[in-house]
Amino acid sequence: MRKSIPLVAVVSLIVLWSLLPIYWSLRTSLLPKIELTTTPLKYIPMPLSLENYQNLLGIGTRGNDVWIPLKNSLINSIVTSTGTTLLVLLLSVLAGYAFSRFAFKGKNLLLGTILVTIALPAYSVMIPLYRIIIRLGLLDTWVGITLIFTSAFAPLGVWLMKVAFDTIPIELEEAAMVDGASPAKTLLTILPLVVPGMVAVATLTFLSAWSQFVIPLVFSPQNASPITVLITQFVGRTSIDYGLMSAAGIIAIIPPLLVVMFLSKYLVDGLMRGAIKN
Amino acid sequence: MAARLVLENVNKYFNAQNPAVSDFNLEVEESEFLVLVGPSGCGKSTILRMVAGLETVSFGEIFIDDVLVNDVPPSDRDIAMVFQNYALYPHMSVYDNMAFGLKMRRTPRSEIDGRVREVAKILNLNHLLKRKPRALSGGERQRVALGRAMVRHPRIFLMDEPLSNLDAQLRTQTRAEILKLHHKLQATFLYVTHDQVEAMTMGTRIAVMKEGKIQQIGSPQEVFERPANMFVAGFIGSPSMNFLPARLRSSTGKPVLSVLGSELEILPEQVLPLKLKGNGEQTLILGVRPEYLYPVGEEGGIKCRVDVVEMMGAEMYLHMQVGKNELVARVKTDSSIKPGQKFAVQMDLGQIHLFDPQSGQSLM
Ligand SMILES: Nc1ncnc2c1ncn2[C@@H]1O[C@H](COP(=O)(O)OP(=O)(O)OP(=O)(O)O)[C@@H](O)[C@H]1O
Ligand SMILES: [Mg+2]
Repeated sequence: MRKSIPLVAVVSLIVLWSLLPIYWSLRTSLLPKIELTTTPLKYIPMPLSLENYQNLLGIGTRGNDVWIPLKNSLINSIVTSTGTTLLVLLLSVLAGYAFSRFAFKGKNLLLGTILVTIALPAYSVMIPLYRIIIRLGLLDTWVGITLIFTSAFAPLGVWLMKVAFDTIPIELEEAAMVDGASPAKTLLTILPLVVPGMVAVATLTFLSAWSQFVIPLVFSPQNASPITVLITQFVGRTSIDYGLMSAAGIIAIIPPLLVVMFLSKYLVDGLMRGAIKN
Repeated sequence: MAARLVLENVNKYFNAQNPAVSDFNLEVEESEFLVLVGPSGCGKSTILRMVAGLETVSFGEIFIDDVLVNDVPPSDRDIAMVFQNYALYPHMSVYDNMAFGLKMRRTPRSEIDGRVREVAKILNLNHLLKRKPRALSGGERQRVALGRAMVRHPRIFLMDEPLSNLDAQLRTQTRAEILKLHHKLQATFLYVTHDQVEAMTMGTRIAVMKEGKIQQIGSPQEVFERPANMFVAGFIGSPSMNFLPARLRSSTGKPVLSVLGSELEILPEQVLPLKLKGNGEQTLILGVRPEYLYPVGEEGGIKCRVDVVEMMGAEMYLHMQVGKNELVARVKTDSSIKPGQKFAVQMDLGQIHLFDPQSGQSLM
């Protein structure tokens, strides 16, 4: 028991470390604008003001001024993140299965390349990618962003799914084949066994896509711009609206939070499965 | 219903140097129970997997009912296979595991239900149908794996060491269960084991394998009584056959075998059919099973010293030393026999085997 005291201390420190910025945003979003600049600093939002949230949701003094761009950017974020997640999931399952089960020429080379692209920073391909996207006429579109995200996150997903399939005994598929299952049906038969892995891929992909900033800033500056980009635009001619920014930030946390809460039970399981290979 | 299975000159190369299976010829007749037996790594599973279509054939041909199946996918071969580790789907109930093959073949739901319940009854699984495999004992899982194969009514059953994970008692019991199943279904069985007792008790014929090659095919009795070579002789039977260096002199008309300093007179009829090369003196290997060695007291046989006494109940195995050679005798339990004791041992000369020392082939 006594041994766990340092552990608890370390964990608390880590939790505090990640929660403090969020708390600070929350505090900022709930203070009236005047109170932000008073000294001494207010650590607790008192008096409480919902002004920022009212403005964001279009029921405040600024009318639909902020609500319309917020709504559009939320939709953009949800569509591109969800689309990316589904696409990555599809690619990861199929490619992961192929890498795990089939022998083909150049397999190791291909796997190595995929590993390298996981480590590759997005900036390094930004300029050629920009030209491609312009050529395709996909600049500032959902499809364009989704394709770019997918190309960035699919390698990790493929790798995770390969590892997940590696842990399934091959005899299960062989039994299915002998029992009369087609190749597609064979994959479907064992698919429930890699659901934890799929959940891990889905969660990681959704969160990564949701929090992207630089790529959408370049590739979807207006029509398809997500909430992360919008937040930075609450900059007036003369001032930065910290309260509004913070409130939008808090709202931006909610969808991924829901996704994580919904999937977290499976997420941990999936990561463990990948880590402790039987 | 049952099918005839033929393998013609089948070869399997996983690498270019040493084939896992080479020049394999086998005909399994309709409704036959053929057992493939051999030591670990001799290629038994590889053969089974090629018949199932899970492994490609490097060279050679496999026929099921005279149809070449080399390029037929596993799902279209109408074969059922029981895997060594059972390969039950962990996320499906026992019922769904058993129904799987029928569902894949689009059998009507009512018929699936009837067949699953019928088989479950035979295998005494009725009360377990709703459970997941992880909530079953080893023996129960084994029966589910059998049941999954049975409900399909396949033309050929392939079984890869299905009993190796069971304890001794359950193994004997399930052995009988599988034989009953064979009798009832009259399907063709190809059964793999490395256990010669299993092979002897179950097979209508057994094929003894070594290093990817068939050494001998025959009924259990044939293989036991007339082993084709020293490998088969040593592999079948427990404890293993004793092998001793011997010299044969047959010039005088009265053939004499000299073994470990003893001169044994054998009958001319035993020598006549020998595939001997010359006439004069011959170096041979003499093989004799432990049950045909008798301790006879102090004198009048091969002199041995008892090293170890292995108690088996009604019988015991005496491990004995003769110079540098070891001999095992299987005798009725006699509590007066102790390690260190010296004995003369005689053998039943009607039950000996003679082998060529170079090739190991039987000369009889
Ligand atoms: N997929 C494979 N790749 C390379 N070599 C293989 C493969 N499968 C089997 N082998 C080799 O082929 C030989 C025969 O293997 P096989 O599994 O058929 O033996 P077995 O008789 O079933 O042995 P056991 O009784 O241990 O199951 C072995 O030497 C094995 O190493
Ligand atoms: Mg094997």
